[in-house]
Parts: sequence; C-alpha cells; structure tokens
Amino acid sequence: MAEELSGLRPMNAMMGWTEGVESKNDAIELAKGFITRRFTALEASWYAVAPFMGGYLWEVHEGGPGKGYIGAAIEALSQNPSSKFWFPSADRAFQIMMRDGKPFGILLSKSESLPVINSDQPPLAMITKMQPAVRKGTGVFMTGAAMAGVGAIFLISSMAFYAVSANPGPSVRAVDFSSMPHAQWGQVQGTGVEEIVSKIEMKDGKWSVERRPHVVPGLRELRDEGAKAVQKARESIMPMPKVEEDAPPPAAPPAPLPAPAPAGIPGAQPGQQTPPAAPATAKPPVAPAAPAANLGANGKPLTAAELRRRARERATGTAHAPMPAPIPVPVDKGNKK
Amino acid sequence: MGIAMMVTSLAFFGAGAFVIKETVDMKEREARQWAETERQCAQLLNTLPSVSVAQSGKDTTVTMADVTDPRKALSDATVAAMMCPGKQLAEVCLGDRCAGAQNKVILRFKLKGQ
Repeated sequence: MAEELSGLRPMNAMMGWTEGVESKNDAIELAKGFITRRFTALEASWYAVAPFMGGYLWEVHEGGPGKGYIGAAIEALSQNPSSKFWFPSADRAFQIMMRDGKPFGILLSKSESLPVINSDQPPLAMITKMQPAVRKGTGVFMTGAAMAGVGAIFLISSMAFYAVSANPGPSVRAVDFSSMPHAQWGQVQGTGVEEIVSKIEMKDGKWSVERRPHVVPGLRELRDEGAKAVQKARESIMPMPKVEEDAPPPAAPPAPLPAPAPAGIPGAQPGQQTPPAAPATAKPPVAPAAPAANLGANGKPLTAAELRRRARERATGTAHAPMPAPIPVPVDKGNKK
Repeated sequence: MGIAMMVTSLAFFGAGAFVIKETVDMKEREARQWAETERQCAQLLNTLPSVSVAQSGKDTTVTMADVTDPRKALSDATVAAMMCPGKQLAEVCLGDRCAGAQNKVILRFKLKGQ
C-alpha cells in the first residue's frame, strides 16, 4: 500500500476537530496557524476545512498533490462512528475515530503504524480538493495575463478599426495648378486671325486643342496690296549720298542733290534723279518743297553730320519741312493798357 | 503581477472602447461634413453664369452656355473644381465643337464624385 501511494501522498498529513468554531474563516485560520507552527514547507502546504458535528473538521498537508481525506473521513465517521479509519502520513499512519461522541485524530508511532498500514483495512480515499496554505497567485496571474492579452488584442483591433474607417474630411487636395483649366489659356493665346479654336478639351487628364481654318473674304488681296505699298515706300527712299566726313566744305555751292520723293508716292524708282531746281520764276510745287539736300536754310553748304541726320530722317519718315519764317504780327501799341 | 496585468487589461479595454467610440463619432462627423460640402458645392455651382447643373449619381456635369469670355470661362472651371473638394475634375470642353454646343461656344465640365 505504501508503494502505491509513493509520489502522491504528502510528507505530513494531519486532521483535527475544533469544537465551537462556527465560522469557516476561523477554521481556516486555525488550519493555517497549525501549518505555520508545524510545517516547514509553507508554500507546499495545503488545508481543507468542513463543518462537522457542531464544530469544524480541518485537515493540513505538507507537500502532496493537494487532495485531502477529510471528505472520506466525514463520510466514514458518519456512516460508521464506531470504527477507526486511517490515512498515511509519511511513513506512519494517522488514525481518525469517534471518541466520546466527538471526532478524534491521532498520529500513530512507527511501531503502531505498521500493523495498521499492513492491515487489510484500506486508507481513506483522497477525494477532497484542498486549498494552498500560501497562495502563489498563479490563478490571478493567469487570469491577469489572459485579461491583459484580450485587452491588448481589443485595443489593437480598435486601432485597426480606426485606421481602416478614418477618412480625411473635406479639404482642399493637393492641386497641380498647371493642369487646371485656367492654366491652359496659353495654348490658344497666340491663335491668329486665320484660325478658329474649335475646342480646348481635357479628357483622361490630358489637354488638347482642336483648330480649324478661318477664311476671311478679301483678306489675301488686302494683304497683297499692303505688301505692295510697303515695298513701294521702301523703294522710294533715296540712297544716302556718299560724303567725305573730313572733306572741307566746297568753296562754291555744289550741284544740288536729288530731292527724295515723298514717302508713299508710287512710281518713284530708286536712283531716279529729280529734275534740276526750277528757276526762280518757275511755279513752286504744291507739296512743300524740300530744301536743297546740301544747302542749309541760309544757303550755306551743310556739314557732313547734318547731311547724315537729314538722310536718317528721310529713311525713318521723320523728316520735317523746315519751319516757315514767323509771320510778323503788327502790335497795336495804342490798345495796350 | 496578476493583479497588475488585470489593471493593465482594464486600461486596454478602456482605451480600446474609447478609440472605437471616437472612430464611430468621427465617421458620423465626416459623413455630415461631406454631405454639407456636397450641398454647398451644388449651391455654388448654380451661381455660375448661364449654367445648368446635371447630377448623375455622384458625378456632376456643369454646362455654361453662350460663353463670351473664354478665358474667364476657363477660370470659372478652375474655381468650380476648387469649390468642390469632394469631386475631381474629370472632363473639360470649351468651344463650339463640344458635345451639345450647337455652334455656340459653351463650357462643359464634369466633376466626378469620389
């Protein structure tokens, strides 16, 4: 029998009954106090209490699997109060019986234990779950760990829910202004008069311009005439006379240079010589007569610089007729006040 | 240790519940904001000159008829696109050969809902 219990039974197992204990907590404290006083391995000790016959029956183990005999003892004593029952405690036997109508337990000596252990009477069964004398907190730890794990998963899930569900509210997005409609005006800005922009379009993010020709009746003829007029005007400009810049002015007035034809007059040919200056008796031309090209208003020969200036003015069309002499206005001094 | 982890788990549960509540509230708030933005967008589009606004699902097609200032019309299209942040400018056509122009210069643009 001892071999069968090896490895399963406690190092020490005791059972007692305390009369007058009505509170379970008091019975527990009694059992714990016994463990503290008598046992060394407190953290490997177990206890169990149960109300019995107006008091509390308690059981303590040092070591072992935490299974007690108290339940089996109560059942056995209740059914057969005149018998003695036993359970092993290390290498000895603990005997429990009713004495004077009250539960009584005794740890037998080694010599007394051997006949009991070797008898045919089986020990009480270890069927009652006992409580650890010192709580290690394993249950709390496991519960806390489980709760913390579930809580962490819950928190992570809530964050994932936030990340998936949260969308930015209405806001101005990043805008590529160069692709916006107003920025496309440059594509059609240089359209000429002979083209019409049929449409400027954006599709699939790409802009395109569709044009068609614009036919203006008479535009070509008008342009031809204009070109001819310009050409004639250019041709009417006389070539510049070649004047030695450093040459001294001639002693006598030289032969007059051909006067340029007025700009815009058709028919004038480059190099065409104007007729010589009309005599003083000749009728003056209708157009303001150009002064002799190389004579100043005072009849003196012009300098080379003055000649160049006048030629430049003729070429650019900014030539002005010489200012007429101011007309003397008689002043009535008598009217002056 | 076990009790500390229990307390920590309570903090986790509380934080998770807070995040979920805030997320739900935020989604509702966003929905209200988007609805109001859409309403203001439609309202502002109708203030464009000679405009007709057609709604097709989430898409909005805006047509401005009798365009006399094409440069301004292009600017109007840009402004319209900026007025509606919930939509994207998908198509634009300015000219007398656009679909439905009938030889008149029109501006038509499509704002695509997201």
